[in-house]
Amino acid sequence: AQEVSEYLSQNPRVAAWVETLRCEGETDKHWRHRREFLLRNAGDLVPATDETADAESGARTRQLQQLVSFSMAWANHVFLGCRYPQKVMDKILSMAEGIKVTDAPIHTTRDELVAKVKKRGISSSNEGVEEPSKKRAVEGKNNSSVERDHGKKSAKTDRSAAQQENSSPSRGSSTKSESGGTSARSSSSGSHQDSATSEGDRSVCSQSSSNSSQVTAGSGKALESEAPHKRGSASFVSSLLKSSMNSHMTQSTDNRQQSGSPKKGALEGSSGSASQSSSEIEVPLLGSSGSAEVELPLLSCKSSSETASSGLTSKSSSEANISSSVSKNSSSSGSSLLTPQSSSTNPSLLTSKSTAQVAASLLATKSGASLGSVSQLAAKSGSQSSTSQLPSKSTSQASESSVKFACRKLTNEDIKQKQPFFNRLYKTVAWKLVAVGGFSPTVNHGELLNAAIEALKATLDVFFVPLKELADLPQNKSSQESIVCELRCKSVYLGTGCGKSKENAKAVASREALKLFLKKKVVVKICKRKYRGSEIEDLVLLDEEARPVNLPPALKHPQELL
Amino acid sequence: MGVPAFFRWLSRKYPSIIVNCVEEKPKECNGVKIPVDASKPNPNDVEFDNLYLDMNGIIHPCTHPEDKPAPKNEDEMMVAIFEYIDRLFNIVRPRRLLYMAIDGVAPRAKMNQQRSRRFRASKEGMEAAVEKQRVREEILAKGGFLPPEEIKERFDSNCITPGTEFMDNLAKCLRYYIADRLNNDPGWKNLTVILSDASAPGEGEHKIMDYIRRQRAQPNHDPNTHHCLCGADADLIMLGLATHEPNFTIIREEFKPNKPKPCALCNQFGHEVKDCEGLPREKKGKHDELADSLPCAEGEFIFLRLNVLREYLERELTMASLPFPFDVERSIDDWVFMCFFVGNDFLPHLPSLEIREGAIDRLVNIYKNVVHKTGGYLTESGYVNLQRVQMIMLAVGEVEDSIFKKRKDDEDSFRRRQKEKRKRMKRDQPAFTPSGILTPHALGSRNSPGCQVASNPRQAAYEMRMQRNSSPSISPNTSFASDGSPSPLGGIKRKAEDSDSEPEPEDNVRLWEAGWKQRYYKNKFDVDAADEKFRRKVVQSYVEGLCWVLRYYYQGCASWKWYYPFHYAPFASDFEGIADMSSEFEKGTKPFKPLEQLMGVFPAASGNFLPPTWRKLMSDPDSSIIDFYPEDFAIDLNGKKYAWQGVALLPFVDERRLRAALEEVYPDLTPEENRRNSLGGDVLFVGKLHPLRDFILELYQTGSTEPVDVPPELCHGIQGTFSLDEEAILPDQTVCSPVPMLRDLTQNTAVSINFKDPQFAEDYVFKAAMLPGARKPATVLKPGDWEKSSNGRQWKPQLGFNRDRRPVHLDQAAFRTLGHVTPRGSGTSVYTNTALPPANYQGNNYRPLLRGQAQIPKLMSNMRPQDSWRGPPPLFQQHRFERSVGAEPLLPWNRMIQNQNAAFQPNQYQMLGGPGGYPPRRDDHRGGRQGYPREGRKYPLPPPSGRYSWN
Repeated sequence: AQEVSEYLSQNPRVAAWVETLRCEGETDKHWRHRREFLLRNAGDLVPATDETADAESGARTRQLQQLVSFSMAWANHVFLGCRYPQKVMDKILSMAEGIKVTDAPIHTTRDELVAKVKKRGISSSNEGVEEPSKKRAVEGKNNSSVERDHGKKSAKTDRSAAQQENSSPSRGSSTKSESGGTSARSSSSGSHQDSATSEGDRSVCSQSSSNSSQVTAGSGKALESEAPHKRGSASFVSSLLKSSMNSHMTQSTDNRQQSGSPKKGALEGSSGSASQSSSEIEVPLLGSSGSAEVELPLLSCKSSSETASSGLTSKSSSEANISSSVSKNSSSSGSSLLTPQSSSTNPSLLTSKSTAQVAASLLATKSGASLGSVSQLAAKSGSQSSTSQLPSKSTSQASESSVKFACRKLTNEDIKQKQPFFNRLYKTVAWKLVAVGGFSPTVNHGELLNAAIEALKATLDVFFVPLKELADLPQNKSSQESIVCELRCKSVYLGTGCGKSKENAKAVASREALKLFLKKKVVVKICKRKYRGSEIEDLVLLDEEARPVNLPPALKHPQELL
Repeated sequence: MGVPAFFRWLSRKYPSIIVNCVEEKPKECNGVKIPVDASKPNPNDVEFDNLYLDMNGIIHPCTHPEDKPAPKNEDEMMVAIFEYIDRLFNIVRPRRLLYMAIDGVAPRAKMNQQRSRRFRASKEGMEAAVEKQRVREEILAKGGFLPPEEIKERFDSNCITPGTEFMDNLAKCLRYYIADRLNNDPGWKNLTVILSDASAPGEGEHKIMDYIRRQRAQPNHDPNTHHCLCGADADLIMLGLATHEPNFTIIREEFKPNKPKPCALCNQFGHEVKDCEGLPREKKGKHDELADSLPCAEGEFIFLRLNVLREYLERELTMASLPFPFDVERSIDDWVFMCFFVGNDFLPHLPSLEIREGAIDRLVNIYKNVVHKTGGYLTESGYVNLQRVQMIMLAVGEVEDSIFKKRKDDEDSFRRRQKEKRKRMKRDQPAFTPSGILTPHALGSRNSPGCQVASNPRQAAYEMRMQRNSSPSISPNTSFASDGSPSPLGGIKRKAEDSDSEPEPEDNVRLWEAGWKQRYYKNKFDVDAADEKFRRKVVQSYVEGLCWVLRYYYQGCASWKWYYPFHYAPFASDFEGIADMSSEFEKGTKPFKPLEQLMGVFPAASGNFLPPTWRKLMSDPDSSIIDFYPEDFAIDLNGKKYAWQGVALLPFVDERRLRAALEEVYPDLTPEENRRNSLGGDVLFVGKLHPLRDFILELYQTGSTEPVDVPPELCHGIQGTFSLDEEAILPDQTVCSPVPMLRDLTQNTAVSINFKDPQFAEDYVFKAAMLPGARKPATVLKPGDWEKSSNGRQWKPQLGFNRDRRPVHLDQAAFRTLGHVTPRGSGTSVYTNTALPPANYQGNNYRPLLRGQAQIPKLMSNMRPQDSWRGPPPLFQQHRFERSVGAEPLLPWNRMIQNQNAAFQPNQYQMLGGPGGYPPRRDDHRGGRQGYPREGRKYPLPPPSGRYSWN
């Protein structure tokens, strides 16, 4: 956010322009974030070339309107608690990546309110968890708590950064990037700044662009790309977005631009077309930055031409196009490099993410694209990785998001598979309960449950997440310091608990889980749950009569566990 | 006004403003319905000149009624609306003008409220449908019976918004209706009728006000016109006061709590959808011929006399030793203004002012204290003096803190009491029950041993004494042991019990604790306490809002564009330095077009009322206004309990962007849609005998295209301009019926023409004062000095419009006659029963004896039926039948009545009006139903007795 204001102070025209988009009654805070949203995505709007500018001006205003609309939708989502159709949500969340919102308000939506009233027949396993899904933290919330500046330890930062990287391809390919909404921009990005301008980058870029030449014929020319432009763009980028990657992108797109305007058109048309160069992954981000560099992020093609050559403007447009196009190459190349690092088993899906390390992934893609990039790069990457404190935990979460959409839907088959096990588990638990004299608060629920499950040669999976990081978290929790624990067995959800410590949380969760076994029968069902702001399907163990209206949000993506 | 509590508060504080309507119901004779002749004198002892109908208050209850099954299709809705208007007309009997106003496009300021209503309504409708479907399937699966689902789709009440086809159709139907009545109804023959349909911009009540205001401002207006305005909104009271017309009355349906609602699945009363069991309907009448008659009568109407309210207010607001001359009219304006603080449709109310907590009284007190210092009134003709307002607001601000603290205390103690009550109820038996010979026994269980009279009283008394000495330690324990036995899963059960003390919604603001202001701004507006600029902006907007609202009420819409861009109000104590804030509004703003407004207020789920490409803008992810249409939105309960009471946090519509987005789809409109989208005007109708008719016909004959001034002398001083109407209703041209149930008018004599209110310069200020020549109506309230001046005469309160109204009185002979004339058991039995608890009814021999006495009070109450719902839950005839079926003699009579009813049966149209012939009171039924949930149904319903006895 600070970069944004810096940038705006240097570019009064942009500042004035963007100010016209402010709404009446918008608070400073909301506006600050929305402005960032606008500026980040504004680059997509700049028209392709001067010749076409007139013809496109109508389309441009339309695009601008659309951008404004998305920005409003996003702000409404984050600050007012509105929910939009899934497609819109995906879109705005991916566009908002990298925007750091601190302490967004928490709201209860109408549906949740009504569900709460209707509930009552809720499954016992959830009663104790204070109906977590009732209240929902706006997604931005996670990140908010994750502010690095404040020295809070955050497992998420890296993840979000990683997502940011990934988001662009996923956006282009119109797959849903779940990405948890927004990602806190990691401070590590600051380190990119230097690197962006560095020679090494440039060379990388050019190379990458040449790689990408499958589509753009004359991308080889890219090398000519004017250093000054690049500089400008790079600096802007760094100030605004601080992503070294981006600068590369600009670069490459520049080249392409020059290579041939006809191509351009094709590119534009093929927003959905794949087969761009690997480096394009970052393009979208870049796109915005690149255009911004010309000083009028959105709209005025004229002014852009003033400041820079026409090549520039055209550049930006092409970037926009590229941004929307998927880059298969990149993903594959990236993954190939990355797979070793990532623990995830789905390499095909942008596993680069799973590393969760901005620097790493950056590096990887880069190097993949531009085989043997300069040593500078390597050095850079080293520094980045060192600067960014990336807890390893994040990997799993990040990877989830990418993985999930590839996975199959849950079917009754799954249920049939699991049910017999739980029938046996039911009996086992029952006997154990009898042995300890029935269900009572004094029993060690965790132990009992664990013992029962182990007796059946299965394991009890326990997951912990700090409460504050949980999207859709139960806000009625007074303490933000608590830990949430989720229990699963055979990838079937058993219960959630929350407590001051891990043991505590686990105890609560096991108690909830055990309550399931107090009714006549347990059944496995497919239920909708919230997972990081969106609805997912999960296998859930319920007692016979329970209606699974309001389950706590999932801590893990169930698909990952299957 | 969105303040339902306002009317309740007002009618409690100023009870004499309410007068119950005397309604003459259509009679039936040998199955032929005789309509009420509205040309006869008004039975309410008063004659009204003008009747204004705020049609939306009529359309809503007629299209989706709460207390009876919904009409099956649009045609039935129209007929229901017609009949409702007929009813009103017969009560009010206007002699000069009937003005019907349907809500047109509202000012922007209202849009967010409309949005939130429609977004909610859409969701609620959907949920109800889902629930219905679920229960239906469940019942059918269990083998229950339900009437087959009608083919009609769910009626989306959102279609009652200007610009929809429904509204267009409604306007057509009303034109037909007016023409029909002008031709056929004697009560209408001299009447001028103005219809302002949904295409004319402005909310219905404000169109009416605008009409009155403009008529008042022209010299031909009769200052003593008696206006009667129909509508239930509380703001009609404000509007009525704002006109400063001396004779202004509001008529509205009396609100009765807990009306029985029919189940939406099986249309039977007594349960809700979720409890529906699909049981077969009990037969109504011996051969089910009463099936279609509604089990409850319609609501009664009440008059609200604003001149009495003015008397009250004058008394309350009069201040001695003012530094400036006292003027009732001005202080009434101030009072109206202060009511806006408490709530209105355009602004959220101030957090410290809750009408239930006596906010208006508090304001009035503060006002009276402060007004001495202000040097004048707060308002003048709808313009606000901000400096003076600031003084009031800051005075309120001073007590804000204590208000919040008190609110919290009250809540806490209420909750405590509730909890204790629940605990008591749960215990399931009284804390103390006498034992021994005093042990209570059910009546009639004579043979049980405990019932025997103590054989040795002394011994028994001794035992009881002894027992009491020892019991304190024992009896409580035992009693608890009986019901509180621990279950095997005791731990869980305990939990379940606790959970029914519902978790209160968490309140982060905690207005009662120090720092509330900061928390409020943080939580509600998401700004830091330090953000003085923002707070200032909120206050500025709110002040603008107050000015806008007042202007809207007194001068008309100052700006169609203005709106309050926040969901919450600031605190009274924030109103510092508002004196220099500007309250000017952009001039020359234009209202939305109807379809544009639909885009502004509908959720995507109601998109079916819009053309396809327009609809697409509401749901397409690439739409450039997609942000206006969230699927789900947050609700801030804001201290309330239910979702519908909370604040819906919907995004505001950006007019510029909306218009920009619509520009692209405008070409997609069909000519028909274009017509619906255009702004129209008012239409004036007159019948055969009206002096204006020839004038209008002359205009049509000459075909002049220029607007022509209305000759006021022909029309009770109404002024305005005429212009020819292309779709006019003309004499000797058939008026086609838009409703298949009703016939075309082949012999039409009525005529219609476009009418436009008199126009004034834009900066013209309508004076808020009594007109010269206006006579104040006679006072109603007891004079303050009555005791001194009356020479010991007793004060007789006035109940109706007329002080000299003769009270209805029946003497002994009349009762005797009645007893002879009325068939045994029909009307009278209802009342005898109500007066008696069932237990007294052991034998038939009681009845003749009781009839004479029990009848009288109840008969009297029938003269003022409005009281009846307060009465004891009356016993229903069903009970009586239980006996009388056994007592054969009544049966022949019984059959006869039923046959007769069967005769009317086919006449659907009459039966709809029929409830009029079924007046006694719904409560009789309800009471009976409650008392006899199932058994009662085994017996046929008695005939509608009222038809015989009282009409």
